[in-house]
Amino acid sequence: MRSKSNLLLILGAFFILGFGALVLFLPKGEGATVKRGEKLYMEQCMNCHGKDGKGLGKLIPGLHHAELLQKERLICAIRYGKSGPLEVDGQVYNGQMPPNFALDDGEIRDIVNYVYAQFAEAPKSLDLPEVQDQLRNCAQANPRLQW
Amino acid sequence: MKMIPFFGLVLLFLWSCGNPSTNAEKELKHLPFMGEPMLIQNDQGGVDTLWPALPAFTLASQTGDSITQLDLAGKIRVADFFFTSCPTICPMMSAQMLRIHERFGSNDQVVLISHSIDPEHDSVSVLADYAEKLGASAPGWFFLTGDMDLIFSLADAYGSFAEKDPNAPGGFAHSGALTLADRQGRIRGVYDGTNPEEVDRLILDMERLLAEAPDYGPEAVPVGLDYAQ
Ligand code: HEC
Repeated sequence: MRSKSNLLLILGAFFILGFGALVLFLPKGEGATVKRGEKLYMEQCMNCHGKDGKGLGKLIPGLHHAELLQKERLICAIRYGKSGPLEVDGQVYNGQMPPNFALDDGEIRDIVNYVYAQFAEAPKSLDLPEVQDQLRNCAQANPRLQW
Repeated sequence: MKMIPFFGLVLLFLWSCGNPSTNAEKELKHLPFMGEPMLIQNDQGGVDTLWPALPAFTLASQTGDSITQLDLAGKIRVADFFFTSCPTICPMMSAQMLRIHERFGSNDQVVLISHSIDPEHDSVSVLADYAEKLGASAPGWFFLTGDMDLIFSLADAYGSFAEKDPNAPGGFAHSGALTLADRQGRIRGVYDGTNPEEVDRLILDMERLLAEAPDYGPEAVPVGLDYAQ
């Protein structure tokens, strides 16, 4: 009798632990975009900005600066690239980030969400319409980019 | 009586089993020599083993000085092939070279050389700007530019690879290798410069080379192309 109830207790504990782990680690909506974004970041951005987002000397800016993470700058840079002088924290960068037209809107959203989760002081998450809105504005704000 | 030779055999067997591994361990303390030995008949009727060393060259550095193999003589060198406008793996290679520079920068027995494979664009002043912004300084780290064909053949000699390729991002196809050569200009290792763990190993191997007697191993002779002017 005693051993039977012990067994039940143990099984119950396993069940609760297992279920808890599932709830904790199952990618939720937000977790999934960040997870996809991580993979894309490692393929598309890590070579220049570094795995830790620290950039490279005075050649490539780090991504910890809040100004660079303003959504219009981040989103537009990913699709259209960025060149010309860029000043942040008293340091002037003058490099070239190439445009990347191979990424679709959803992939850009994923990268943005990973960058926010990883490097922003106050992590946030954008949804697809927000990103698409911004992408339209990039093209309007800079006629040079409309090709 | 019969047991003694038997034991002897067993001992011999154990000894011969154990020995290769301890020999291998001893060998491991020294890095291997990459490439093929050159066997040369000597006057005494015997054979000398010589080892090919990296070829001679003359290129310009970011300081505007002309650099030759003589500036590297007696030093351990790490070489890579990159270009300043490279959109792909070069920033990672530069980041890893920078780690090495920061680690050995004050050691005048070590020299890093980054060859531009786009020398038309990467002039002395472009390289000077790149080096300054990266945080690299001569004479611990030279950025070299000059004749493109020479630089491409050097890439080959260093066990790396570079060529013009209009379909490659940035216009050049090239390898991310970092090549380690010893004080006599013999290649002792080639590492993936985009992989921080391989570069950890490279740094340890540099320590081993620094500890090695300069005359260790087969005598080195420069072979292949000789573009020294
Ligand atoms: C080939 C190297 C390279 C790659 C790849 C790259 N960047 Fe950049 N990035 C740069 C450089 C260089 C600058 C600074 C440009 C300048 O000086 O104007 C920059 C600037 C930025 C900025 C600031 C933009 C602004 O308007 O201020 C952001 C944000 C950014 N990058 C994010 C990313 C993200 C996200 C990715 C991956 C999708 C990425 N970068 C891929 C090199 C790169």
